[in-house]
Amino acid sequence: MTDRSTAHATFTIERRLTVSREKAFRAYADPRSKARWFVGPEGWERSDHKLDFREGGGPPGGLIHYYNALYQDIVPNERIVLAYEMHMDSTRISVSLGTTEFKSDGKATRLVYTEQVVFLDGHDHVAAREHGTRALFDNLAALLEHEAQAT
Amino acid sequence: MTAVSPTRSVEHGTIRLERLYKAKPQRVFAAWADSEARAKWDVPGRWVITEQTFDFREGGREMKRFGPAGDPRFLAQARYVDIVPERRIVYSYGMTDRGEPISVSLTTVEFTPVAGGTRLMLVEQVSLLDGRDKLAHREEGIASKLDKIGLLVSEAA
Repeated sequence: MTDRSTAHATFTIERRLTVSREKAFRAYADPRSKARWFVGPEGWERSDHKLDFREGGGPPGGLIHYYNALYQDIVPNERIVLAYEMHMDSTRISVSLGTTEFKSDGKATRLVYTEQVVFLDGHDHVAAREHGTRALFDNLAALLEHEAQAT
Repeated sequence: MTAVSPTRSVEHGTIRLERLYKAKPQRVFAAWADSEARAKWDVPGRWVITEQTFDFREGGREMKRFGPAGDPRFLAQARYVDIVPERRIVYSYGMTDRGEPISVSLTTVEFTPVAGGTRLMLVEQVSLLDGRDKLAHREEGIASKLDKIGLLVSEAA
């Protein structure tokens, strides 16, 4: 019998984005924009990219990481709560709730992301997940910074 | 007329509950998997369920309308993510109160055989929305349901 285990964790990431809350929300939620920052590490190939359900990718020739999300609560320009699961090939490695809050901070936006996660059967761990998620928000912050400078 | 938008807030919390049942994991698991059994305990205290659908499988979605007698103000919508028969159930659910969001949860239920029965561990990771519920209150509701399971599974098989 496979050894079954669970490990629960919570982590929070904050970023100051140099655009209004409306622009930040759009960059976060719009599929075309999201495709530009919601990506794996450099060198990964992505496949079958849809905002709603299945998003995935992985190192060339390597394991496929799948991201399967369900939006649970959306308040335009203010909040997105989604549940998602991660797979490595056919193995489910974690299930998460991700809450993203957009708060006005003068002309900028303070984004607060909180992830409540359960890792399954000893696959993956919170340090790696937090590291990977921080990289995504770095992408988003850099993209918005770049756009703000271009206009 | 302009509607006043409510102040948005999110409170994150984790509820952990444990129960020892004098029944085999198979029987305790069935309290979740079997719709007839689940309809008997899946609401806190003396509240009532007025409408409920079942779809117990990975990816399956369920809804449940419930509340105090005569006031079924709450709606829960769940999706099962991970099911390991007689071992584990992971599901997420959102809840509304008269259409307004009150919470989104990720719940893990684990069943472990122990001498004389089953240990059930339930962990609910919850995001409480806009101040419409409290962690202690939610915990009380879940505890009440787990106690009902105890009564159900100790009935003569």
